[in-house]
Amino acid sequence: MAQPLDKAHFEALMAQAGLDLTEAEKEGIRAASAHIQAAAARVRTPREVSVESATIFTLKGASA
Amino acid sequence: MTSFPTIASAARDIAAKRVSPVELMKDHLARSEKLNPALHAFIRFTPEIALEQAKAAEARQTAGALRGPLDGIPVAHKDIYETAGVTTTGHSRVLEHHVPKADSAVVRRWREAGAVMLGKLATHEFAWGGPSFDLPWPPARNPWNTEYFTGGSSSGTGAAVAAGMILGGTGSDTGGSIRGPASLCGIAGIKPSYGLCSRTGVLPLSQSLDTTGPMAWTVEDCALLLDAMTGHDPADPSSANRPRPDLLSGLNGGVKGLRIGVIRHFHEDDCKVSPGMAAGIAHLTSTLAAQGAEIRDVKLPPLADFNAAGWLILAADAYAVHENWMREKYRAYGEFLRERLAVAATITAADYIQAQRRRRELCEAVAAAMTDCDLLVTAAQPGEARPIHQMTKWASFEVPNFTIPFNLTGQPALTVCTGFGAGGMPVGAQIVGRPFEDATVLHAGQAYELAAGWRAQRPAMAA
Repeated sequence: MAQPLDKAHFEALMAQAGLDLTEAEKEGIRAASAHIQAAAARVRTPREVSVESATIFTLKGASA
Repeated sequence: MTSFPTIASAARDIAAKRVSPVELMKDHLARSEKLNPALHAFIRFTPEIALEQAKAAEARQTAGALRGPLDGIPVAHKDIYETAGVTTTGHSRVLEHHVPKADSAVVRRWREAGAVMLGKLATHEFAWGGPSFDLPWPPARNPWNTEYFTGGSSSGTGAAVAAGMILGGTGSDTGGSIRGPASLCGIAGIKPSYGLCSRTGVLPLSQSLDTTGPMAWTVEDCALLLDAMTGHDPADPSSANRPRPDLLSGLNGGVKGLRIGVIRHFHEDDCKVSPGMAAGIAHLTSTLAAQGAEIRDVKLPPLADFNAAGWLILAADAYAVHENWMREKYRAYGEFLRERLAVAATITAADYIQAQRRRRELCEAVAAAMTDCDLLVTAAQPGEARPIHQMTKWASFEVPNFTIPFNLTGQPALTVCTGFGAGGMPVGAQIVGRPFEDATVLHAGQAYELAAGWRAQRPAMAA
């Protein structure tokens, strides 16, 4: 199981998001951040650095 | 003994003038009002609209001008579907007084087909936060046992259909919100191909996963409802500009010769399902095999890979939708949703892009597996419904999800009731097709359902 974000990192992200949480809420949500960390690790499968991401797009209306 | 018409049977009776749309509406509204204190399936009734629409249907019946099989059929809408002049809240205090000016595209299409709206149905808050007990309305209860969870987020639709309050209703499915409640409530529900049905006027959760779709007692009724939902909508960027599929003419064509791949490792190894769910899947495949389908095993990437990509994308998209309200109205949300959205704020841009890249690989893997298969089969849930008070805030991340793989891939996926498991609670399995082959999925579901005979049994409280 992945670890939760460390406290300083987590609090910075909550502050960036503008969320005013109680200390109890912070601890519960920070603990759940381990699920996000686990998923983020799992989607990082081996790949070449130049592999296209899924965020490319096709131009509409371009002339031939 | 209560009678439970289906949409198909009621449509025949209306067409033959054996049933009055006004009486049908009144019967279902009365049943709904009687059962709702125990089920909380509806958060709002619309009796004036229902009467007006039923009278109009009856006038068309009298004039021999019925619009089709939905004319005069009692339905209701998940409360993320906007309804003109009728409060649409997303089951949230955040939108407690939101009265849309226009119907969502699907509500309009069903209305134009003659369907009669009885009201608005419970959902998990904004289709993700539930089951919650700190919202303006309580969560829906499962009619097979009111102490049990309905599944979510189309919780009210699942409960209302199973209890015979309505003949069909709208759901939406971002990670399984049609197929999960369909499984736990013992009904049918299809997540159509991504892009087949308009999402205009439906409160979003994740635009790259959200899909609108129908829920009903039978597969045939789902086909009738879905048929009235399809069609290109230029106002919805995700709407596919392709001809409307023929979902109905081959519905009873059977499954002879269809190649059906069982994703056995999903439900036997990656997340071992309950004995009842396993028996249901076995019954589904053996029944289809007996009708001439070819059954084989298929291997996909692990279920956990689909869950990882799916939940990162869903959570990040949802956070983007709610970012401003989270900052401004944090305490107006229920605890479950606000804290799930807060944890989503920890997802980085790189996490999201990697999840989308992994999604593309997973889509390619499923497409490759389907070169040798016409359909896939697996569980719709890990097992039967659990007591509603056992559902946890972080269940989305803790319990493996069998439905989100096909939100990632955009494929059509149907839940069909495959029997009853522990405690007499229903179970349902998924039948999954290639993109825009929704008709094939419905054909297989219909073939199974007619052979299986599970549709004779309703929840005791509804009888």
